Amino acid sequence: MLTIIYRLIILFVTILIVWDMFKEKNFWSQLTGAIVIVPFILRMLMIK
Amino acid sequence: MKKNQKIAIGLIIFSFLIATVASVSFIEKWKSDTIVKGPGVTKIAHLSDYFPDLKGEYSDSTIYFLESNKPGGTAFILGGTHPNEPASMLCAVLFIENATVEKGRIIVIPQANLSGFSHNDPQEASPQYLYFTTPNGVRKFRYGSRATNPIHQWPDPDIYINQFGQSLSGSDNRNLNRGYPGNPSGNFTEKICYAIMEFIRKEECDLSIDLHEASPEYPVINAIVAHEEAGDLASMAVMDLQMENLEYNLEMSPPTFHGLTHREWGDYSDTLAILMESANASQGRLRGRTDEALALTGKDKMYVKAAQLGKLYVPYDKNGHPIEERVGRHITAIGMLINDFNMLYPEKTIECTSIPSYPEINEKGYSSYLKEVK
Repeated sequence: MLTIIYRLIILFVTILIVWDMFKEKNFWSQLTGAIVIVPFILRMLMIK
Repeated sequence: MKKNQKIAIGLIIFSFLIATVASVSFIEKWKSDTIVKGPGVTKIAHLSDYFPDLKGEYSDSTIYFLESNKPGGTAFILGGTHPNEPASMLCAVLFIENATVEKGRIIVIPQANLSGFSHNDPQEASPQYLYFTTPNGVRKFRYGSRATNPIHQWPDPDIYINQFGQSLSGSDNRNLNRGYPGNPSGNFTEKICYAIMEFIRKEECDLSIDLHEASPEYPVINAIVAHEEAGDLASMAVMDLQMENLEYNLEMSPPTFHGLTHREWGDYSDTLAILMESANASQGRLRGRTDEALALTGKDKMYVKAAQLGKLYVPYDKNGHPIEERVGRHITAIGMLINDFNMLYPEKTIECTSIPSYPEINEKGYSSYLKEVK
């Protein structure tokens, strides 16, 4: 159960970052968001 | 669509591409290593045969039995407690693929913490695999992490309080060698410990040897650590090894340092518990460039410098400490322990052949002892 909640939290944060990437006008901030979501995707899928 | 939104879409696609490429690499590491059943292997079992809760779990390690048809004692060799200590697993593999037991039996678990082999520690730049070129092709083995994979066991507490009430670092929650004697209803790692303890008890292992490596700056290195019940045996073996020009430190298992094999194996079973260490630069904190070559050769300028400054507990020069030396030390020490065990307990003799000597493995190389995969 705790792991499911954990993965949902990661999904929520990932969505927030993606949402911010769409609102952000600074390219480097968008790139930072793109880099940050990579480990989030991997952990959400329990690959790494 | 605005320009920044198009850029965001492009970057998200880029992120998914990176994640996909990384996923392929990470998922590839979940695949089992190939270990060839040697001529002496008579039976294969799994930890779940001793603790059914592990059935279907990634942690269900394979157990190799090398049995003779003559009654005698039982020696148990455990490799891969820490998958970033390659000589441990590779020594066990060498036994499985080469040894023939003439009296008694030897049982080998080459990869105790299978979960640890399925990943690497972040930010350590560890190699994912070790490759050995043999006359029959290339063999590869995983180089893993010291601890259980977080995708199998999460979260780490801030402080891990083991079943003895001792406080350890939170990440030791996933360290197999802090979880003994194990707990059938404990965490993922503690269950593996419990399964191994059940195996030792049910198979009535007379002598149990846990193989490790240590960083050159760690004081317990090139050492045999023995439970007090195994003190006489370990003392004899150290002296015999010194006569073979192999220097070993003899350490007695501290009675109050709980969770480790050399303590709990001896306290919770009738086995003579031994732990051995060899020198591994690739897990050290003073190392330079980290790659497969470092893991296999131990050659490292930083460690040579550290040795000159007197910071190490093993001699270190430009020749490093190659895998042949480290596996050779483990094999030779195991042989000495078995020989001395036979002297102390002649009614439980264990005899084993087809294992290379220390000079042989150093001369011919580890690859020479890996069998063809058919």
